[in-house]
Amino acid sequence: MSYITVSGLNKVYITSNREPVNALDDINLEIEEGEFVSVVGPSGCGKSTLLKILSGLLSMTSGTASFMGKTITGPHSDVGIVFQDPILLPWRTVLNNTLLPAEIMGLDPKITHPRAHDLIKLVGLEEFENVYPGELSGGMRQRNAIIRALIHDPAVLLMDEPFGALDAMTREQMNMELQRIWLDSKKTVFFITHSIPEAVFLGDRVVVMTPRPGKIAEIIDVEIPRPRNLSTMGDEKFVALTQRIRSLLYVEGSLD
Amino acid sequence: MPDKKQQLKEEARSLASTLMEKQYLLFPISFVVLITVWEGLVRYFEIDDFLFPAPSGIGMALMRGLFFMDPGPAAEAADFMNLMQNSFYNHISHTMFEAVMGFLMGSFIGLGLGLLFMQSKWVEAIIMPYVVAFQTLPKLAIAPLFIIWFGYEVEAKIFLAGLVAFFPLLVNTMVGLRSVNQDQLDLLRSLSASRWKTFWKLQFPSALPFIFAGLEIAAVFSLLGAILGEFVGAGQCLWGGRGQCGLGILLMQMSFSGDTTGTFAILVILSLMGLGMHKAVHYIKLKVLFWAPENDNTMST
Repeated sequence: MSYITVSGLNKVYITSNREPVNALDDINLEIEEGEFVSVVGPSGCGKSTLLKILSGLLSMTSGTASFMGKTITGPHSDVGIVFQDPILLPWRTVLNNTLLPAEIMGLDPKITHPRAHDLIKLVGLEEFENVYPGELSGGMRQRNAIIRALIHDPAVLLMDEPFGALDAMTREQMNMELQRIWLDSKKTVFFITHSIPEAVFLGDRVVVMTPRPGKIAEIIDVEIPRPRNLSTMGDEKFVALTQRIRSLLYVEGSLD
Repeated sequence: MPDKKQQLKEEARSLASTLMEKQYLLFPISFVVLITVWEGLVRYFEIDDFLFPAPSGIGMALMRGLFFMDPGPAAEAADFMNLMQNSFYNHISHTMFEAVMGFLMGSFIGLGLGLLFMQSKWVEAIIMPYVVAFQTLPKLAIAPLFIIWFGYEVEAKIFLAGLVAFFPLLVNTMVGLRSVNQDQLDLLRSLSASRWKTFWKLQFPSALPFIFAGLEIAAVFSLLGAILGEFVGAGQCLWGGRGQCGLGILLMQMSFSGDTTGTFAILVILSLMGLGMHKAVHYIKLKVLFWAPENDNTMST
């Protein structure tokens, strides 16, 4: 049995003018333990909705989604979530922001404090441990948000366009860093992005989604060996994969 | 000739740019200019002290009151002897006590009710209309009632000061708790945070900038409330003085006895006290809210 199983999942929204909108239409997806799955698609293809359903923040209209055989009915502690914005609390230092989920879940500080220090070191923020978010750069804040999602050692990391707000150079750096963290921790990652190269660079598989109604167009295996580096993006195979995804998106829908 | 003109222009320009660089000088300079012009106008047109006193006279009245050198002209009227025998300090401490106690009480209750209302839509729906209706009443109309209920002494003034300090705290607490960032709420919801933890770790800290803005307003309002209470009924001195105390009473008596200069002196003291209370709260705010952007727009709420 797969680690995460989604079958026959539908989500219908009722808009303000009482029109039903099919946000997700018959989604079937199986994710194995330790796998890095990228999801790419244009705005409105329902990829964020899918992530919110997996996190338990949104309910589904029909179908099932389960983690290790447990059906998802609401927010659960098996996941760590990284949103597009870092959403750090401005009155907490890097260390205390990292520890927030641990405090809320009531975890033992004797375990979580050393872990927080390790995580801070892992993303190179050790000099900023006692600094407040207002004094950090965008990339540093997002690093803080990533380790906050890892503090309670969740089995799965759900990431919703985490690097969308960063500049191109910082973004490439963060991609490298995320790959390193993933290779290190071997978490299962569900990674949503707008960027086709980013999806291919990071993913073991790339789920290509198209809008209206939001559905999966194709799931593509990325058989490029790890660790990948920035020059990988020039490889023939890499280019061919991005081209293929691009054509899928342009045939099935439109990138907007 | 053009050379000289040019030179003057240059000097004016360099003076202007110096002032722009040293903005902290602008207020003292404007203050000195204002006082000088005021003094000059009063002297030139020989305006009577009774109508509009000169700054020098106000300064003298302040000195007289603060250092108790001479009871001043108002003391000649026997009725006011008691009042004028007390130095300004007796009146200042009396009024300050009323204002600070009222501020503490009103803010505490306003904050408490604001927190309570946000816990339950029901409580808010039932109580809020009464609170708003009550707030729209002019406080001057309520003041005599407070005298009837709580007497002429310090309690009535404290309650009145508390009443006017209460509302900004209530409203700002509620607005603050409501303005919590939705993404931050989602983050805590994804962690299955309890209501209590959501409140302490997110909602309350997020509301603090609003609560402090409310406190800054309440600090000034409570002084007004205390003075208003004193206008309506005079109370015995709390400590040190003989007879009746309070800057509000002193202000009334001075204006009745035609001591306009003294009235101005009290007004100067009152504005300094208001400024002081506001600054004190502002200082604590800067210490507590070191993480919040400094020029927030929550002041206007």
